[in-house]
Amino acid sequence: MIKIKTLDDKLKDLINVCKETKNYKKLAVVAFILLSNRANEIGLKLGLRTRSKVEGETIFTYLKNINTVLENNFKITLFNLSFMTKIKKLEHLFLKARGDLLLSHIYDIYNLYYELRKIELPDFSKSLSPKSFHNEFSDLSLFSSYFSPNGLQTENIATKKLMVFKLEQKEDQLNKQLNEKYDPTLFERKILIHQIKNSLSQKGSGKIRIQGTLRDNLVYQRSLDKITGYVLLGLFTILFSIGITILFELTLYPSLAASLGLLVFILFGSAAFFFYIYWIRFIRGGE
Amino acid sequence: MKLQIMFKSLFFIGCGICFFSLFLNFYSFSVISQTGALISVWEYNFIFGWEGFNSIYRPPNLGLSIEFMIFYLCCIITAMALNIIKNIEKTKNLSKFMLYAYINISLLMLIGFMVIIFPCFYLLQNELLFPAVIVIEDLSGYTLYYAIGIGYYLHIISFIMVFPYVIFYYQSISKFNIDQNSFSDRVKEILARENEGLDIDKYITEEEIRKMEQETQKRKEIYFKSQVLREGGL
Repeated sequence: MIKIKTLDDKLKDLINVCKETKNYKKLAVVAFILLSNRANEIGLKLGLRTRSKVEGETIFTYLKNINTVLENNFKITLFNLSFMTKIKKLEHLFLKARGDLLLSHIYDIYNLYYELRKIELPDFSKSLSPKSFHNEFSDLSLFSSYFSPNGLQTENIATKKLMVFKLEQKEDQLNKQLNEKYDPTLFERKILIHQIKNSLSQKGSGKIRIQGTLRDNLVYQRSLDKITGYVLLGLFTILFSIGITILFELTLYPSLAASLGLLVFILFGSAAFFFYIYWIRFIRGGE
Repeated sequence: MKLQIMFKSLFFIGCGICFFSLFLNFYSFSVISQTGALISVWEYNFIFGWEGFNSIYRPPNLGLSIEFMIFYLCCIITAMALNIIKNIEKTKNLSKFMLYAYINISLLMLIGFMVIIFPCFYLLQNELLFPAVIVIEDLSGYTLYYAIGIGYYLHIISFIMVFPYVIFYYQSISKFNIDQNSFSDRVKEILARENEGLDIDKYITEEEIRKMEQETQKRKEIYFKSQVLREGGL
């Protein structure tokens, strides 16, 4: 991929040489290729498909589609009306004149291209994590336990509804701010809210998506602490199971009750003790 | 990370203990007379079956087939080998490890089988009491000693050692999902495929050639013009 600075330098050289040869058609073609490529990049980064050239989809239609998707999902207009009008007009002229445009039009196309390049896009690949929730919405501390390190836990419907309500309020505020002025950081927060709302409406059985290896992942590193809890769980399982086995034996040979009764009591008592420690340390402590 | 290594080591030790305990005494039954003389001793081992003396008191065969024991031994060896060769923490394809997690769980279940199911459905069904019981026969006055052996105790220890790592291994695979490609890599990949190629250097060169041709043409025109003027005597 061409680096932006090199691309700009090369574009400058091309404009100079085309001005000398008066071959403005080449400049117009290059400008539209750049526009199309940048539009594709924006679309892809927003999680949409690329422009369908086979079906004759124009850049204007493609950008309009992006706008519609964002309006429907996030109530955001990424490309304003004046931008869209200009691009529609220039693309129409370009197609009609088969690339033979006036220098002023070419100037406008390059302006549009640089406007497109200025648009900063939020990172849509960021996945919802308890940390991001705490960072972005520390004011909603009421629900902090919901986003505990153990993930989404509670199934309380009333709490969920209240959370959705609070998130919608937050979303409305962001909408107002975004409609006044587009800001990628605000947009990213809006996406985060959207993700949280979606996760609330789902059953919460999704896997944690990570990149790289487990060794490099912080959530995995933190989950390593749980392994000590599994020792307690293992002790509970084995003691409880042996207790059950002896109980089964007592049903077959009730005369052994006097001699094995104490052992059963010790086994079940120890099992309960280990489970209690596990409960206190890893289940109740984790909430 | 040390914690993970520690529990992985415990898993291997547990597997090792489990493996060797299969060759040790798992259950014993002995008969002692009123005078304290040893009448009969029978010890059960999974590989070699009952061993002892005085066949009058020989307990019945427990019915665990040698094929099952071979399967059990293979499962222990496979689980150990896979955990040595395949490192879950370094992989970029976690879904492949699900099979290994199931092998580990199978091993845990088999150890559990030996500790829980074996006494219930093999010992007790053959009137062999569990875990350690002394019975005095009314008629003969003989004392019967029923007791689980060192193999059984080692199996309990190996269960406790293997359990945490196996559960954590399975839980890690079911909890995490590693993205094969990062989002930006995927975007780059699609853009490289879908975007129109733009060779600006080529366009610049084309235009420079055109410019040179135009200049040559211009020079030719000037030369021709001056020649005409000179020859025309102007």
